Amino acid sequence: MSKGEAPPPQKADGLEVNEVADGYVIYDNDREQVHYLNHTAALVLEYCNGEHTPDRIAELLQLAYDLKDPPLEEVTECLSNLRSQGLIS
Amino acid sequence: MPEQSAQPRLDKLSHRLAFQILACGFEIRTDSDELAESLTYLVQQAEQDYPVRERHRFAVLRDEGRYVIVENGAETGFELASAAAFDTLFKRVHVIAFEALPDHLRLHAASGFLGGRFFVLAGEKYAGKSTLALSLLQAGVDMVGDELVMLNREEAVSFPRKMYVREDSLELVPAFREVARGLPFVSNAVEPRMVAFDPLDVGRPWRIRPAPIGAIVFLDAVHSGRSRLVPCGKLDMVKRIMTQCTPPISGAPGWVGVLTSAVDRADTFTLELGDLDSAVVDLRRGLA
Repeated sequence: MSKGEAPPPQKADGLEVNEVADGYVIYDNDREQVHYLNHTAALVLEYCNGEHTPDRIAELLQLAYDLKDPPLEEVTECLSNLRSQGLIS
Repeated sequence: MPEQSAQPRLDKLSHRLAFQILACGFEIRTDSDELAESLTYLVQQAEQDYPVRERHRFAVLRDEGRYVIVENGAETGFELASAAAFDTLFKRVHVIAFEALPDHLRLHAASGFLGGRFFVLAGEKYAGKSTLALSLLQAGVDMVGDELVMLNREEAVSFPRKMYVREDSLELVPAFREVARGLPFVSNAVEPRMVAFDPLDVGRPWRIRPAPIGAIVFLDAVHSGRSRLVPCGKLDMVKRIMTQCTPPISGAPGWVGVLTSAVDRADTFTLELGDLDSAVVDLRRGLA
């Protein structure tokens, strides 16, 4: 990571993650909020381990879904949503 | 009224009503004919495969125009009218029954058994749960409740309560209209009369037992046209059904997980509820 670059996203603490057939239901105990993530968003969240950069997450998604290009724009938007919901830092 | 003056009178109370609500056994005694009559709205005789762990005794004594309420031998207050005493008992009994299952979340849903499989019908208020429950009962389905299902990690069980149905809704289930005329009801100036109905009233069994939830149906009221039962994604169902849940009163964590895994294990549908006959046909076919 170069100077001034944001640290890789990391899943927030205190989340109760529950898996269903088509996504995640996440309960944020601290904020008493429930979040619903589809498969793709759930996968992005799983990649937010404090090590993967957004570029790397897009590459991993490309591999996972056998895409032609890394979906960087979509990943960036998803990360922004997850961050605004307090699910990643 | 001092407790010692009430106590000798308790044995002479002419009415005694005994019933079970899951883990609680209740006994209510009173010397008021009017109150005893109105309590038939509350008291049910569902067969319950559930161990009684605690017993509660109430007495309501008339004393100089007041209705003195005694709970487990201790005077807890008084009301000035039979209707007010009924309200107090109704609320207190339910609070006690809920407190006896502190780790269960409450799902606002009708429930029944079809082919031995437990299913629930959830939906917003006025979505038609009770009317549909009566229609299913009329069609021979073993409906066990129209209001609440108690749910924890181990079990789901219908909360034993009579089905409280708006009198005008009974017009939609003609076979039960006549029966309903003789049943307990409550009424007030602004809302239609609510009739207390249960399967035993129409000669059907009423057996409540814990069981895993086999199917969850969320009702979307359409009010006309043919009803349509459509498979529903798990995530969407959790989102919908979450709005119909009350968390456990113990505040125990993990209740979202309890709900989520129940949804994940069940078959999930939405029912666009138009006419009742087609709804019954679709549910019988889809949930069997």
